[in-house]
Amino acid sequence: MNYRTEYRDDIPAVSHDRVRAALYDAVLLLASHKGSIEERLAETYFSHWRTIDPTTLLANARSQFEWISEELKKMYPTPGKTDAADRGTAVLVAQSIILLHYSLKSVTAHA
Amino acid sequence: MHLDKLPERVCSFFPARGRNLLPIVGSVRLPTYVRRVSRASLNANSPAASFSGSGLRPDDKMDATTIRRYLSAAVNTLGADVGTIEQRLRKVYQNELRQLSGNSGLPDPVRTDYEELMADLSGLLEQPGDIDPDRASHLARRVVALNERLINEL
Repeated sequence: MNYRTEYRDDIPAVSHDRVRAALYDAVLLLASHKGSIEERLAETYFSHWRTIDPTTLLANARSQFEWISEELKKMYPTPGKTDAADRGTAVLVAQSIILLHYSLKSVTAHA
Repeated sequence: MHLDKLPERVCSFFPARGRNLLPIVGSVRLPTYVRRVSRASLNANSPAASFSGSGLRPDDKMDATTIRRYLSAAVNTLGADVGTIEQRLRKVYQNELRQLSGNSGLPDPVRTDYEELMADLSGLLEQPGDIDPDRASHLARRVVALNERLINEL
């Protein structure tokens, strides 16, 4: 079995579109929200990120997803509060969300 | 002298090979023809210096990877940059989107969207005074959508 076939077998068929849609909504919100980076990320976390079921992700993407989730949990322990968010980490997490969306998109586009 | 012969001549100049090569490089004076080639490549009168920005001639097509890189950078700036929606949009308009203007490398359906978006962006950002944040937010969404469409087309 070559690498490409192995990778394609790993794509969950059922919930895949839902995950992609949630990630796309997250990217749209990050890009178009009028607030600061901390506020945009908080809104993304509470509106979209928490709706994604990590078990439906590719194995390769799951570790990245879990890292992002951990950071978001630390930054936003309570809805509506952005005090605990560090700006540098917020930028890094936002970049990781965008990267995750496009890497999943490119994998499925070639599947 | 032919440039395609240069690597062999440079390699033959160094007596050491493999892992021993690196420590020696710093202490060796390069032959005259190597230095002359380097200077020529930095010459301000060279043809490459005539083209600013992407380095493309006006009739050159930008390749798909470069187009994708510009649009991905635009989405990344909009999504992960600190600053207001106006600042992010202005940055994206100036640094990324304008680099694609007048370029025929964009696929036809995407080019139409791109041209409409650029017209709307210039209308919003080049007007005097404060800009409408709702309109800016809408245009930011269109930048993301344009990138999605480009990925699907290329």
